[in-house]
Amino acid sequence: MSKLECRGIGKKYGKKEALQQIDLTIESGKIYGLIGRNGAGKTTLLSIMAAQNPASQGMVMLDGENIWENQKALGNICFSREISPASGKNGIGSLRIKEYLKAAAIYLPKWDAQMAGHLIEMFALNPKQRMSKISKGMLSMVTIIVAMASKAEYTFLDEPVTGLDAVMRERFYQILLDEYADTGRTFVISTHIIEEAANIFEEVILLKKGCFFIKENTQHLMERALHISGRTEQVGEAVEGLVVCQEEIMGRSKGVTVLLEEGQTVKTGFEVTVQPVSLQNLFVALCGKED
Amino acid sequence: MNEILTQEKSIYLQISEMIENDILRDIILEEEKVPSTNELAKLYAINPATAAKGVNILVDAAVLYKKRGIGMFVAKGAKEKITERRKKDFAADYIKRLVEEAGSLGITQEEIFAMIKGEYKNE
Amino acid sequence: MGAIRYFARKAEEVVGLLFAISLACGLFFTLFGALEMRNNTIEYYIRTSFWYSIMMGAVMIFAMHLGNEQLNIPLSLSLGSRRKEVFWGIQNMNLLVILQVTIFLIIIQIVFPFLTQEIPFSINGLLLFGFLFLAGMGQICSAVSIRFGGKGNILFIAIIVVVVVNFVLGILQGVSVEENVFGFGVKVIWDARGLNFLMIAGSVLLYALSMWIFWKVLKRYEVRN
Repeated sequence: MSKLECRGIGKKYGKKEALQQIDLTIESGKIYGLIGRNGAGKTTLLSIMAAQNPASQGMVMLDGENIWENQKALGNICFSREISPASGKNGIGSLRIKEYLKAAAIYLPKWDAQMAGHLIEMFALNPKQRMSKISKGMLSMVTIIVAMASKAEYTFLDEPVTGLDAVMRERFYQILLDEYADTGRTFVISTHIIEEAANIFEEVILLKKGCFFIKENTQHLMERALHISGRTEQVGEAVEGLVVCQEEIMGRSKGVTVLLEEGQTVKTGFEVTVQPVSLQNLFVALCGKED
Repeated sequence: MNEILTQEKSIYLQISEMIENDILRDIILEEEKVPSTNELAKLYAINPATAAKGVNILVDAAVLYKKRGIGMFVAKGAKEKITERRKKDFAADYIKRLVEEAGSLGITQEEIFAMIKGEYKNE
Repeated sequence: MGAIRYFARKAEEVVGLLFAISLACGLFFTLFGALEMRNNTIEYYIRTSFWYSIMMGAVMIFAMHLGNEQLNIPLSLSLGSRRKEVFWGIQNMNLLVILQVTIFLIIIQIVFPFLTQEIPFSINGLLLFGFLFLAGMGQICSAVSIRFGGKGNILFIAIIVVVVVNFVLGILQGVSVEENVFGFGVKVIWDARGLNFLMIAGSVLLYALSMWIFWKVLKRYEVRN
């Protein structure tokens, strides 16, 4: 099995440490979700994992080879970045959709023009339009087209559903699952719309303030996360020794979110309600206190 | 099939339960093919590995069997197996909760029996 | 391979644009030309377009680097190109534009020998290294722009303004077409038409320097959204 490894990745912008000591292995053939608050370093990490920007420390290896300036590695990785319309007049945003796709065809060795054309039709895009003049949703569609038609073994998407309405988001997940079923390509997708996408991700990676926090099979993680509520004292005894991520107190009642470690359970015999926690709620519980 | 997924339970468990429900309701008959993991994944917008996990539970329980290169099929006697197992789990799933809930409300054993009898009379 | 192809395409776009503008300018000045009109209008047109090609060549070989930093470089890198390839793609682009323009001008001079009546053939050597010099300047400005942001762009614009001002002053000073087109610039070229060895060496050195500076900056270029 092929794998993409980050070893000790760090990134500094001036004095600011955007990423610290990231050790991460992406195994091929899975769909990963990358979640984290704004500024946690998701885009920075994806840039470095795709060798588009250099790391300040550490390196990224694809099957044992350093990917930096490595033609072979670059041919197998595609990071379809968000296109910023603000780059407007002179930057990438000034291009027409078809010009951007033409450039993609030149640079991406496995480009599938037929798939690109098919997706343009499906999204009802007008290829002659300039990217500075189209909506955020349509820009997202363009990045999705580039990612899908690249047919790259490792494909990264940075918030691909920005600006898409619920119907289009569902359609994206369908396109993704179709492509994954057909080819088994590896996808790493960062998103803020956690709940919808949680079921799509086989594994979820959580970045907190530039540090690696969690990488786990989604279902497994969800089984470890529980919400216990009831009378404050009862709750306290039931979760004794457990890792508490968040607590809410109102009057005599208390609710806590816990993340069970291997072999731990909530103590029984107390008058408490134990409920499963959604990935989004767990995320907020884990990262909510940062400000 | 086509039930909606909830957050209450692990997705793969819901998948295996849904397939079992369909078998019990004769929506899928014995020796018939069950949707592939990719089809299930698309239908419920979930990762195929999760769908596969749910299907594998049923393979392990001998409710489904695999025909190489073709897919998963409902085993003979699957309906009985499912019913048997659910009967066994009935106590853990329903009775335990019923007794606990009744306890916290202060309902006595006699009162519960009376309620159950009443429910059967209504049927 | 992708970057080489991509920037080669950009080179063709520059060359195409260059000639389109030159021919258009030539037409414009032929129709609404200077006070002293030649009897032979076609000759006038060819002469004017010829000079405009030289001037537009100079400007564009310099200015095409401005677009690189804002569009072509981030685009190429974000689509997975190696920096080494982008670098050589741009050197190749320089080469293609310089050679194509120079060769075209040589061919035009051979086809229309009257052009070389006033200007000796050796001007082509001068042009070649002049263009090389400008390409180097363009690359340096591009590097400054990448490294220091907006200040580099100001440098670009400043230089272009200087050239244009020269040109305009030239027009106001001179009367006949040849002197008009370049004005002050033409006088410089005129004086230097005995292909000075120092100028050749200077151009080559400057270009080599620009390659070094540009590579150093490109190596650490950060693609941002």
